Amino acid sequence: MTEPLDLAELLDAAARGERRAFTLLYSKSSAQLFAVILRILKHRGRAEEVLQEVYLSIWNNAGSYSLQKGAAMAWMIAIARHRAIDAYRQERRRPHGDEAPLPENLVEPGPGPLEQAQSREEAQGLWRCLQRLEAGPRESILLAYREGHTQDEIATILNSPLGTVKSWIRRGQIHLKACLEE
Amino acid sequence: MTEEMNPLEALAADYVFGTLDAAERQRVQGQLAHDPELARLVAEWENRLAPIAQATPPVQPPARVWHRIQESLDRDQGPAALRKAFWRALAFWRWSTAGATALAAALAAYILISPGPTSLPPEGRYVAVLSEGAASPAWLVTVDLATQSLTIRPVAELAPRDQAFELWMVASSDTPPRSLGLLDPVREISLTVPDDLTGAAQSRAVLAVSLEPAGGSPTGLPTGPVVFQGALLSVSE
Repeated sequence: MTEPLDLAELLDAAARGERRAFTLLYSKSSAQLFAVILRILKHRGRAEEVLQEVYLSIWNNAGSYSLQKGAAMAWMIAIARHRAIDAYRQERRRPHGDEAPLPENLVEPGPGPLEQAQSREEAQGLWRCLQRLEAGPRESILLAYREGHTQDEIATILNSPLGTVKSWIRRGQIHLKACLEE
Repeated sequence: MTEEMNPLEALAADYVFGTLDAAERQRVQGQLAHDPELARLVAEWENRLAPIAQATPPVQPPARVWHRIQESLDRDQGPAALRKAFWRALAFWRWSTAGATALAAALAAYILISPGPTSLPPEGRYVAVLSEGAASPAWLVTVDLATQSLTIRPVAELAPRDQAFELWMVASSDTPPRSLGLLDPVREISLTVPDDLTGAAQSRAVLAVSLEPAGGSPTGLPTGPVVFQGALLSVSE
């Protein structure tokens, strides 16, 4: 049985209220979703709360997933990322530059995405397309998507004007779409 | 390659990339429920970018998170939650396909024009096709409110089970499903629509079949999975 179809079937069963299927779904996906949330929130305690909310949302909305929406994992990752970003935006009332997560809660970033991607066949397409971008657009996209930063924050981090960052991201989106359609 | 994206696609991309502010994100989340085109564009971007998320090395969450999730689910096992769970399980947006509706409409037309022993007016007569998912019709149902009778006939070969098929009428997500009785997997049977359900048995009321222990649900509510479902359509539609 291929992995993507497996998760879709578990979601289907969970939609019918089958707890065992939901348990299996959790065991197969929670480490990935937790990592995605941690990358954005960087704080373990808050990330754990969001992970709990995410799985309750998956349980309550499993019936709305269908194969028309694409891969089951992409659907779940989207729920996790968006909830993490919403939580992150709520927390970030401090001006940027003042971020200081407690050292014991700090999560070390893992190996870079390019190193990771080279060992994963299914990611070739997107990573190949990202590599074709210049550093500015590529870094902006990763800071936005993976770390959940606003364009203002990205401008500060990359020490570039806000207008440049916005243009980088828009051009990057157009490029990625065209490149993936090749 | 154009340097422009149409506004809806740009909004979808910005939402998925995470570059909208909190207020804009909330607006988009609200819009997604009503705008299938936006939802489709968002789903496309989520799928395109998912490999970035999947390249993040997995991190095992502590066991306490799972315990808390289970506690939340266990807390929600009261009757109100069971009703909601049953309603969720119907997942109508998945089975309300053009195919099933067309089949029911054709059946309704057949009943309307076929010569019958009585000249019952079309008002008060309903049909339903109960199927598993988007295909596989399994039961044909006709309802005649004037006589409060419901007939149900299997149209597919059903695998023998040592469980029973029980028929439920679901008026809304706020009221408990009501059992109409146990089904025969081989023969057409007639069931009675109780007085208090004749109001609910209008067009688009939902009928569902669950798998129960032999003899039917011991609790008066579905205890097993919903295996077939369909909506009642008025014969005069």
